Amino acid sequence: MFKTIKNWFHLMGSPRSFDRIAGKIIPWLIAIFTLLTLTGLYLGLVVAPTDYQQGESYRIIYIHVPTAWMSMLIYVLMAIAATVGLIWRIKVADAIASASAPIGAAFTFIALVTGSLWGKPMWGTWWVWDARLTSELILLFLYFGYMALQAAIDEPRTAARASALLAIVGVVNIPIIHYSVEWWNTLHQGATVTKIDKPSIDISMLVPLLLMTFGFKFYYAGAVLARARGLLLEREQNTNWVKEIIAND
Amino acid sequence: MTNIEQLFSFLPYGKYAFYIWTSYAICILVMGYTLVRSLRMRTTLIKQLKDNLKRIFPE
Repeated sequence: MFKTIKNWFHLMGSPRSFDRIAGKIIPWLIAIFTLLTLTGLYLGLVVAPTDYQQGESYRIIYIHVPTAWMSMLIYVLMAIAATVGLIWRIKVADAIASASAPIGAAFTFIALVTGSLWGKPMWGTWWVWDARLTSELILLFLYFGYMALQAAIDEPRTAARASALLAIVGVVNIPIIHYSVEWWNTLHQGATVTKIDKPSIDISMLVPLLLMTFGFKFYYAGAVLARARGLLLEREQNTNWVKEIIAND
Repeated sequence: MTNIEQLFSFLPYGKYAFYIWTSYAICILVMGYTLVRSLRMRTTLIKQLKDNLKRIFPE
């Protein structure tokens, strides 16, 4: 078992094998994402009942919460991939880290905008400088900073090293975002789904939320593999395997 | 109801329609754009590299 996993990692560590395997997986990931998301949207927007307290406005939860979770998860994965690239100098890990940043930034942007659109009818304001909202905004700037740093350095290895350090340092913001609603007084509500004892959300509302959450994970996997393939091809453009691809295309 | 809420109230979810549908529209646009850009990245790059080769070796 351990040997199989080790061999698989060795195989995926080679840009050529990664390109071939990722090319086969991506259509499946996108198909699963589409299926889960469409089912989640149907159950969330059509089947789920109106909330007794927030009325219909709570339906923003089906995109706000999954995108907010994804914004944090992607940052952690980006930092892990960047660390692997930094220590073992694996090009595929560098490409995964680099490819994750714009996708993570997109999710963070959506979480912030949908949060604002949910906040207006519920709190009476588009924005407040409280801990949860401010730390999520800092996360967006961390993604932008990572992308800007990569774009500013021409040499790929140096760019990967410098941006990896920023990604690792930025991880400190993730527990701050997560626990901000417990550590400080905030307008933002506390944990609903991830409460250990019992989630305070009805099952008819929880199922579509979980479907959307899983769907977005498949979206990330498909998008990050597609971007990483492009980045590796660009970085390896002078190697024989890329020349073969160009010749056979 | 504010003016903007009234304007969109003909849509499902009444006075919250503006907030809900704007959220979903932004989500679909941003995620759709990011996915299409990601999926086209490799194809665009191969085309660019091919064009470069043609420029260097015209035959």
